[in-house]
Amino acid sequence: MTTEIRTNNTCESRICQGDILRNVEHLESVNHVGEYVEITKFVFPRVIVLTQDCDLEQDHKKRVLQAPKRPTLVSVLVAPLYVAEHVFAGDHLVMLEMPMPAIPKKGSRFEALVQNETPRYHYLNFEKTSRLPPLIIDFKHYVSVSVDNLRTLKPDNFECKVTELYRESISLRFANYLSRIGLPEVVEPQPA
Amino acid sequence: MANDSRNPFNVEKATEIVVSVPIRAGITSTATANEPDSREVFSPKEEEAKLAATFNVIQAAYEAGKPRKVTLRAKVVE
Repeated sequence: MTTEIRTNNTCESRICQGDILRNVEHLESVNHVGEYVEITKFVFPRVIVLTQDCDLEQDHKKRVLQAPKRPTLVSVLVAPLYVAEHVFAGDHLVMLEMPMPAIPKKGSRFEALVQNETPRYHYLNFEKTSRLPPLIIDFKHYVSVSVDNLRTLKPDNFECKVTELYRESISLRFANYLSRIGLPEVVEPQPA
Repeated sequence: MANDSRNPFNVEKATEIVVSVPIRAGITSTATANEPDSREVFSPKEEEAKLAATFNVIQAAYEAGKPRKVTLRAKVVE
């Protein structure tokens, strides 16, 4: 039994932590090829905003509401949301040419993931009234998006907002995962 | 189409995609001169094409949930 995530469908004018937005683009590269410029971008069907809400609120005040404008943020941190079924099949990044190992829907690995006991992943099982399928955040994947770009697309691309308690849980688990310390493996000396 | 009772129209929620299109080829017409039969009769080939088209639409909706890479190429005119 997994916890059901509560969401709010009210679209605030500013970017909020926990906002779920559709079709957010991340610029991967800009290359000059002869007389051409090649722009490669990733299009994420859904992302969730991870930047702290107090930072977003302060930036909004200074960027939009006050004069003279003195924005404080350069960009907003977002994490792609993958459809859980695609993650279990291991083909969620197939179009980015990044095949991933499948996660069989039976066994301890699957159970740990959906119970949010695997530090790398956050499983979001939305309340029954939600239009959203179960989604997964992979804490290894996060990108930054321009604040103004996100503000421009929010009115049309807003899906919903994860409510405070649940977004704090995501934020805490993300921070913990990011601050983990990789310790070296202890190698036993070989007997002479 | 989707076996999730919460939202049968959300393809992303489906754990398995099953397309079912009734095969109507070979229906015996019951039309008479005064009451023409309005039912469409498809040949097996037409049914197959229709089935494939339906599957493609569902498959496209399923794939739309995955991140994609887009490359744009523009000529420098400076």
